[in-house]
Amino acid sequence: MTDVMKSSPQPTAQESILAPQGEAHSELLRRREIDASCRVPVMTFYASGIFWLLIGTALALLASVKMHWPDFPWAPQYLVEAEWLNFGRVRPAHLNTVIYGWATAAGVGTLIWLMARLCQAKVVGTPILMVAAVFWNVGVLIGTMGILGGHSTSIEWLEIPPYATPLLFLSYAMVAIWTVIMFTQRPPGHVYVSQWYLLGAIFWFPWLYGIVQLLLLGFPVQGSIQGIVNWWFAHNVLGLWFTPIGLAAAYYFIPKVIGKPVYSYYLSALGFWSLALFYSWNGGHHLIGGPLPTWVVTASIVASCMMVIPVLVVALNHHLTMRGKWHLLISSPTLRFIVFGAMMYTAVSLQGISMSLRSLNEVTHFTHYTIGHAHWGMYAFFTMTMFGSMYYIVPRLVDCEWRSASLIKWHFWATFYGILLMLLVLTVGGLWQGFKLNDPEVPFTTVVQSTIPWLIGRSFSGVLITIGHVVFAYHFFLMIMRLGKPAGKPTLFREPVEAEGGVA
Amino acid sequence: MNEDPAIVIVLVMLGVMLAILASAVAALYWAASRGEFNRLEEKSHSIFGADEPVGQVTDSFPGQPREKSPALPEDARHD
Repeated sequence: MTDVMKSSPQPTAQESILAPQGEAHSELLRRREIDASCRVPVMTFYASGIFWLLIGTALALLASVKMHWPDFPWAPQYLVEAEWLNFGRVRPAHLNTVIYGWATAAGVGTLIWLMARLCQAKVVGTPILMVAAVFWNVGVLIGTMGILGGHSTSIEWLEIPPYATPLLFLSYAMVAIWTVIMFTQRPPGHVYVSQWYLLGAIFWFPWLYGIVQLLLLGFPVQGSIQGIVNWWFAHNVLGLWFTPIGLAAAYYFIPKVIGKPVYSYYLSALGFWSLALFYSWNGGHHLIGGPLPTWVVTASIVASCMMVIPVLVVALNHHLTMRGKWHLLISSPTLRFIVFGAMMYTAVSLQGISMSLRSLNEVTHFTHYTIGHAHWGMYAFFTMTMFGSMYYIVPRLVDCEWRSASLIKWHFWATFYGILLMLLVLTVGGLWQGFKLNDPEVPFTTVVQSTIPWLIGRSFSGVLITIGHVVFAYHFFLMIMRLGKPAGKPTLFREPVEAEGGVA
Repeated sequence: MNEDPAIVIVLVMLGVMLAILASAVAALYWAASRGEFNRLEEKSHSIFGADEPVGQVTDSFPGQPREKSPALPEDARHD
């Protein structure tokens, strides 16, 4: 498409909107062909992701409510006492269903679509992706049943029992191989910044997952080394898998939706390479105060502080790209979700950097503050960004528009207020809890009891988020059934608009 | 666990790490040699084309007209 930029004169926005002709028309047809070619795999990953999102949300609500109403006074006794519904099983089942079932599936779906579009090539090797989707979902299903059945490995972020993980690894490897095949299909030309991030993610994750399986489940290392390996993995899953996919989506959709190139492409290159350089060192800051050599933790803190560079670079770049276009947040659902997600990326990253400092960490460690941080990253940033991506991608795959603007608004505001309330109660409540825990005068039981009002607040926020998810799942289901608004024209998404003037 | 698997693990890990490092360096070299970093700022236009040019908004709520973009001509200029 770079070549297109050289052609002159360029059509005005109005011309191309109202009557795509010539080059514009053939480009439109080509893009529709490409979109059609990724319909089946992307929709499969998305649909299964949303299924797991609902399961994960139900498990989350259950775990949250158990924290303040452990006895469920209105529930049948056999359910309250059921082993598989213990907090200790429900909570990791929630974590793994949302991380692997929802977030990874949504991320892979978005990756497939972005790769096809940015490579300007129709999807090849669809069977590879479909087998990967089946393996992935069977793996997550067996893993979740295993966790609920009491077979959790007890290693955070890796609770899925070893008999399910090979399926996940195989599935992942297939997606990685497909990505490489797809990359070779592209015509000569520039590799856009989103693709750098996607290719980075696709190489980094199997490496992380393979190594950690080997060192913790295959031939387990002993003692505190387990902690290092565990947190090296858990933190890198966020930073080298979910973050690059979320940023790839933001770097594509923000400029694309508003019709304005990224403010500084140089900054985007700097942001990518500095993330690649610094992130993988960060895991050690989870072990502040742990039985490790001090230098290990200190090195990790230094690298965590270095993360200021990629984070601010990305924030600055997105902010300056959006300058003068903020009013589009009112009219574009994609932009609304993704800009919110991008802002939350900046916020959560700066918060994470501050949490790596020993002085703050000694207050927040082992408190609900950390749980708030995790949801800030995985939900407010990543999940919201994926919702935004889906609002853009799905109509282009099923050839009809979303059925209802109201449902999208319900989804946005319920999840928006839900997650902000959750972050507020967990952050404030967590700090309160941390200060009390550090006060030797306050008995432990008093501290635990003082967290209950905050936890009730968290459950309430969970109800709001659940409403948002149910609305979204229903709307998505309508789209699968092609019950959305018919596009009506061969030039999908080309409603005539009153665009005035041409393009400079 | 006896010593042998541990050594094997360390060697495997070292090998993988070196391979990853080498692939990153190779990727950087490949990108630079292909001119990926030449005239970098222009490349941000690569996601636009004749059909969806700079200045065109490509998303809106269903059933609602696209953004009017009264400031389109000046806004479409890349800063």
